[in-house]
Amino acid sequence: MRGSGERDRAAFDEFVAARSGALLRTAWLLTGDHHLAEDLVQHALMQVARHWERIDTSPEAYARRTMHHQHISLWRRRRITETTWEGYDAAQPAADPDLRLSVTEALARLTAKQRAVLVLRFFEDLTEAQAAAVLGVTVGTVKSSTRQALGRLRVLAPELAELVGVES
Amino acid sequence: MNPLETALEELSHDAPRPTPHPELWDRGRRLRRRDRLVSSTLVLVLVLLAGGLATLVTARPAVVAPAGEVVPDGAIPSRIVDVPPSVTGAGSRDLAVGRASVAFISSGAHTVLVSATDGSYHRVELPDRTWSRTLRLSPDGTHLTYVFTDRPDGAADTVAGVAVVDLASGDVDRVTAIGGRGTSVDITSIGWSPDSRWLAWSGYDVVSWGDAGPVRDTSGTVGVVDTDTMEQSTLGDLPGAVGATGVSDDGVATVVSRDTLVTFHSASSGGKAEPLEGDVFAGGEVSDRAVTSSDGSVTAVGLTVMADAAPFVTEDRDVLQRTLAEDLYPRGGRVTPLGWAAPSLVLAMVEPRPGSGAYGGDAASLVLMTSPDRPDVEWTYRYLVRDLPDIAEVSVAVDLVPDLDGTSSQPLTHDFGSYDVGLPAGVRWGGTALAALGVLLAAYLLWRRERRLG
Repeated sequence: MRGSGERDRAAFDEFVAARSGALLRTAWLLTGDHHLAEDLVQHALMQVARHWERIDTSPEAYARRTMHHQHISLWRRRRITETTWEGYDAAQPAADPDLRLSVTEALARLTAKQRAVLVLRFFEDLTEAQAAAVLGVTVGTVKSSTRQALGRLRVLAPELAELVGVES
Repeated sequence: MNPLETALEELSHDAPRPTPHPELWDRGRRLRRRDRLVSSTLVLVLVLLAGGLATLVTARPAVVAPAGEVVPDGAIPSRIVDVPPSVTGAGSRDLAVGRASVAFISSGAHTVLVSATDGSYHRVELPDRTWSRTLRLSPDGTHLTYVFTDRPDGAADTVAGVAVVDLASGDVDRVTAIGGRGTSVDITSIGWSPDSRWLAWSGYDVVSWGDAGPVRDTSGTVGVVDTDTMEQSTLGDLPGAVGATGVSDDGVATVVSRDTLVTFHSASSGGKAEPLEGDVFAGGEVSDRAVTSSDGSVTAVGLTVMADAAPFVTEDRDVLQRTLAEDLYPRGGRVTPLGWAAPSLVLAMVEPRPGSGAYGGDAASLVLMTSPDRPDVEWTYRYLVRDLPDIAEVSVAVDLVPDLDGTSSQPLTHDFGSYDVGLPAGVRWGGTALAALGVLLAAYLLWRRERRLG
């Protein structure tokens, strides 16, 4: 007979095998960087293991929430150390209005919060309230961030205008 | 599907293949164990902090002797305070408080002992009923004596005597006083010998005990108790009026009344009464306080009235007056001798006449004064403790007074820093509330931490 520790580990391994791919896709959309995405997922999975017996929601929901928090936290730290002279969270003017960017490149020009909002709303299909809960912000912030993100995508990638025609 | 959703879905397929680290689980569990350790430590620290805070507020602060001051066996505190009126309820029944420096009855009728070694105050509950509330600390501060009255089950009458408390063990020994006619005695005066061995008592023989107290006979009785063995000797009847009683290191009792000196050398010899010449006590009555020197040659006598001098009676019936300094006591004062700090040095409580005290203060002081049997040039007058509160039955362990010849490095008194007589209820509740707030804060911090982690 296996002990509870062994059972927990087996369940964790099963969860990792089944859902790490999906988590990595979200992490990839959040970061746009393979290494950062893998780090994000590894960190989230380790936190799941750390609090395994205390997670009362699904492990995947916990992992996704951890990823979003960690991503924004990392982005804030990086902003402090690397871009202390300007507000990174403010909409950056397009260097060239005629510049055409891919979806990947356009996403990369968004702030972490804007990217997170888009991923939560249009990739994970969360409602505004759910997205607000995950990010720990108000629904109003989610709405404004979504509006700013979509507006920025229209500027950065006019060919995506049709894609981003929706106002959330 | 929304076009943006489609684009993001397609983009997500560019994500790398997952390669979870094989030790993720183990690392997570290690962190979990560390979390538990940190949480436990945090709880422990905060509980200790809250407890410490409560102790700090509600308990007696630790006493730290200033550097250079020596208090090996104890010292007389430099300040004596009364029990605040807000302190109510019975005191402790544990009388094992250790060596005491001061004993008194507070304005609120609490019996208080001050520890000689750390200056802490102990409100104690004496185990006996008493009429007179007479209380005396031995010169060495190790024993406390008081007058008790008792009516044992089945007894026809009330008995009285002296009880001696060993302050080290808390044990109480009682000696019943028997008057000259076999009656009980209403003890009005008790005194220790300077070596803390002998205890002398005197009082009126009792005709009967009524609801209002004893009905006194006109005659009195004197006795001494050897506190080493608790053996009592009833020395004999008092031929004159009952007065203040002292006893020398030889066990020779002296009773001084308004106009008479009675000396009792032993039970077999009886009392030797000799009249004092003239109105030696300025028309006043002697109080219940007298302290006899070690060799029995001089007895300092307390008066119930204000006077310009403190009387000292020699074994030759001479009454010597120790005049109070006019600049300190322009209208005189009342001197109550408490003990012999040295062969010619008496520790006394001096109360200035109201409205006339030095520096405008009317409060009593503990002072050291030279016995007037010494030449004037040797006289000294030193303040020990000023501004005594309105307390009664003050007695002091005079052996704690350091020598004045310069051989002792200890100051006359010691500042123990704090005086916790029993904190007012408001302060106690404040401390409790503060501790409760500390615990709540600890709980909140833990809750926040758990919420953040979980």
